[in-house]
Amino acid sequence: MADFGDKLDAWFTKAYAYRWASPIPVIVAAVILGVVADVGSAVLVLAGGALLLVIAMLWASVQALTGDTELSLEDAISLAVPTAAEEQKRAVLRALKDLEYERSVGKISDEDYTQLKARYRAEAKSLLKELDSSQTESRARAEALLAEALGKQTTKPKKKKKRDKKKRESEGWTAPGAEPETESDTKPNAEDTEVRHAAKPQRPDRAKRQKGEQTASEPEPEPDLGSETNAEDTKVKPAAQRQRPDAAKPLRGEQTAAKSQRDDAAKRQRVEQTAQTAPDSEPDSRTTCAECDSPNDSDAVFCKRCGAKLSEESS
Amino acid sequence: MWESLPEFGTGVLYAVLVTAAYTFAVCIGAGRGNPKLLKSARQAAYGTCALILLGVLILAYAFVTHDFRLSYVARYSERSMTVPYLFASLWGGQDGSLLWWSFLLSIYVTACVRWMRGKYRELQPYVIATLMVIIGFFAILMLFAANPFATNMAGARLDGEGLNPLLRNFYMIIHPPSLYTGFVGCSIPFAFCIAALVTGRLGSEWIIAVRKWMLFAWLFLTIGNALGMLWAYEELGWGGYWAWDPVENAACLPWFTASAYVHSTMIQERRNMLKTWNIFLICLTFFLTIFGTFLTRSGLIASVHSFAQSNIGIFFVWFMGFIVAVCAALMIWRYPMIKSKARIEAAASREAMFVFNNWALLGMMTFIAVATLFPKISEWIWQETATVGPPFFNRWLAAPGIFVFALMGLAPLFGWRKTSTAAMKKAFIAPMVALAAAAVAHLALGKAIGFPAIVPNDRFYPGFLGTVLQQVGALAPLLVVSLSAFNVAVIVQEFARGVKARQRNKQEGVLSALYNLVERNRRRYGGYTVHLGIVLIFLGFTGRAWGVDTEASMTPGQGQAVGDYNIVYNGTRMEVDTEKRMVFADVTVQRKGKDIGVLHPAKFIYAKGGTPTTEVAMLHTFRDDVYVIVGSVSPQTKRATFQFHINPLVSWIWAGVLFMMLGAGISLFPELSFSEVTAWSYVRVGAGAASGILFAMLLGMAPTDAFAGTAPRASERTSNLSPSALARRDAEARQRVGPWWYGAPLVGLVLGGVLVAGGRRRRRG
Repeated sequence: MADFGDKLDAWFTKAYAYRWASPIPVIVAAVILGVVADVGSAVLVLAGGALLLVIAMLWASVQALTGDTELSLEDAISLAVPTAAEEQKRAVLRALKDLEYERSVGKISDEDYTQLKARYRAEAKSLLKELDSSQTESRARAEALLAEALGKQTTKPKKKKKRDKKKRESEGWTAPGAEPETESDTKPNAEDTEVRHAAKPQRPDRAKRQKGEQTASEPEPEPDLGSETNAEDTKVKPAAQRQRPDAAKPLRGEQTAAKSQRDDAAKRQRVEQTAQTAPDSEPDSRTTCAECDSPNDSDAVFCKRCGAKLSEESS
Repeated sequence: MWESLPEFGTGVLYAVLVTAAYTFAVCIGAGRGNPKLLKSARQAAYGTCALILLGVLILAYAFVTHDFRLSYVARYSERSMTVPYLFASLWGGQDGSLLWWSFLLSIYVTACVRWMRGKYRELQPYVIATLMVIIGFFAILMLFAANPFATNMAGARLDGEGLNPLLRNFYMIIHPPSLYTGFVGCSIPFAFCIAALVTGRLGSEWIIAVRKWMLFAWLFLTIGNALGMLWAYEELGWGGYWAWDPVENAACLPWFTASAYVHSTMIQERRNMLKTWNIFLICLTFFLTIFGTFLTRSGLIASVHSFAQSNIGIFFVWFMGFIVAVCAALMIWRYPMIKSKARIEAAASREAMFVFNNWALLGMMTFIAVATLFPKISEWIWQETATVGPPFFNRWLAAPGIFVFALMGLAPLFGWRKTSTAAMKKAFIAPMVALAAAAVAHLALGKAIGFPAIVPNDRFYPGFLGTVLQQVGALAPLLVVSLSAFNVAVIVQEFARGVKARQRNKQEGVLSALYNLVERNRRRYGGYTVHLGIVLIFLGFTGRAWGVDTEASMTPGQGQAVGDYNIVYNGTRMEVDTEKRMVFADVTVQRKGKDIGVLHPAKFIYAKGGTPTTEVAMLHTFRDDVYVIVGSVSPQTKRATFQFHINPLVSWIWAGVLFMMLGAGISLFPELSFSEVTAWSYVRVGAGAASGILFAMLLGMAPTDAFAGTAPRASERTSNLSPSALARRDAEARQRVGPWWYGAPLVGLVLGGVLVAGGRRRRRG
């Protein structure tokens, strides 16, 4: 009996994954009846399907209300709400992009351009610093959780790890950068696009502990900072923002420290890469990158073009 | 027969009200931060929408099974109607159209709730709560004022009354849903606005969220109004496309404020200004959709479009009062947060232009609203009803319309904050040269080509005001043509500058630069495409100034000169089908001595009685529409009375609408990074594009018969025309097909792109 119950639960879990396909049999049945019988019967079948949908939705609502259902990953991720500073940061980045466009088509004088650009960049930097500092506590907590998880991970047999990984992937918890542990991370993480929400709490900053392990990052897609749709779909990754929500995401044991450091550097870099989508601005920085000789702002930590860390000598 | 259908249907409406209230309550709880309550609210919102779907399906079932126990089914359908018209009858009358409104709103709510998952965590509960209030209002309306499931007092009839013959055409199937889609779509931005006010999250978050929703609603307001114009042009048989009917005016009011908003929002995004304006415009747009519905249904103002007089008006008055009270209270409460800290620094700035634009569009909207309500206002104030007709609107709105048209070209030339003299010189040279050249050319050559620059008209008022209006009306053609050249030059200059900048910086070819320019700045260049459409529309409207209208009584063989055309009356013929007799008066249209087409205006006399309907016949060309209406026909002498209208540039209006749709589609097009999409996404893209193109081709093909003006469009059964007559009719119809056919692939591509919703977005970093 218990086995049957388990099998039923497993079947429901499987069927639930395909719940969005449930209207298809109703529609097919309606079409068949419409052809074979009459339009009224087809409409009746559709009405029956709608009634079932009503019952299912209201039942799910009551279950959620009474606390019988667990939070899904998406719901948990959405707990982190973008702060006003994050929204303002996005607005400033959009304004920067528009400014570059207007300069490129000659609608704004050089003087106004320089003045406005400096103002927007200063505002963006202060917002980024504010965001960084506001998430220090969350970052530390995430690091602690990660360390604890890593500690547990190393004691587990390899096969079980792979089984766990497969299980997590099948449940939709594909960890960004989920590669085999022995491989170096060269693959861009497609799942990042789903979890890149400006509101997500930050994951541990491994860059502080693993400075020497940074390898060249993947060439990132050309960031379109301040893009209208970019900001709208909230996929912009500010340099200061760390990536993973700590509350609901699964343990990130698979992600190497090197990858995380590269990702952090790449994220900082994107904020500064306004020039990639616009004509090159007048060089107004005083720091030259040792790797690519690009000019950078005097207070820049990483090069805005190649992402390399700027040493003090290159100032 | 389903015995308990009426009770079940009414029960569903009660269930809608209950679940909407339940969802509202759960949302208020979720607003305090409980994620499980939010999840519950979302599921309940889906359930409420599914209930509305159930209600619509039950009513549809009643129609297709001819359940004449329902009063609504008996009034708007009959046994001889085919299935498409039976479904169209769902929105043919007041009761069903309210349910249809609720259904469209439920589609929007479902899409919005789905789209919001994982986003706008703090706004979500209040967005859903607001939408549930609107659904609840319509449920109350249906339950207590206009129940589509109400039964006949006298029991089931043997047959129904059927749909009004004027409504039995293709446009009945697409115009109301299109317009309702636009109206209802304004609810989503309104819900976000209320949520932002309640939560105090008044930054750019909610503005970005609602941008595409408002643009989508605006697109369908445009399409709906355009289809209404097309319908009036085709069906009403008075030679025009806009009669300033109260219901027509009510439909265009939210379009003005929505147009103002889609511009004004850019200021808030860019400079964090005009927050109060934007909130006001969104609230006003939604209010006007409810107000327009109220005007249409309350019978307050007489209109050809009005539904029957009913007691529904008081419900709308209370709801409108509730909207005003809530919006005003929230705005006053949050005023310290929405008050702009920045100031407009110069009149020669884009911000200033947009503020002028806001005022101009708001002013036009207010003028139209007051003039529409003027009969009631005069009755209340002076105890006499004073009506205002089309000439009043045309005279008064010419000047502000030309002002807005000029602003459309000026605004892109100015920079943000202020524009230096050098930048202004550089920006204005080419457009001013184009304006001057167009003005000179029009003055010199206009009369020779039949489009004179200055068209004298009658004085409408005495005194100085009358003189001013008269002069503006006379100069309107010259001003519009000159400003059209100015606007086109501005658009071309914007594209050219952008392409040159990309070529300079990215070393791209012209076509690559153009593609990438538009692809990376869709809103901007989509907007310019919309502006191009508006140029064509303004030119189309101005064509009326050069129109020729003639009435004639002719016997077979006689000809009548009308403008550049000669129209020869060939004779009459009669055809009969099961529904009606059709009396055709065939005419041949000639230009410069050559036959260019044969038209078949007709009168349809229905077997069931009632007023005979006039079937217009038209010949569409790039330059003119030859529009023929037959009045009376003498069976003995065959003498017929005709109205002939030469309507220049009318086709440009429809072409302009297509450009507006294209531009809006470019702005709405989702971001896709093809290098990152999976194979399944390619399939979705392909399927979406293919289905969109197919749908648009069908949409384009369908009005063919409507444009023909010959065949019995209203007939539900095969006529007894001979095969050769049918073939001739269809061939002539295809020759006269309008711009919809050529625009169909364009519409399809846009639709196909928009259908790729949920595609992978470009990863920006």
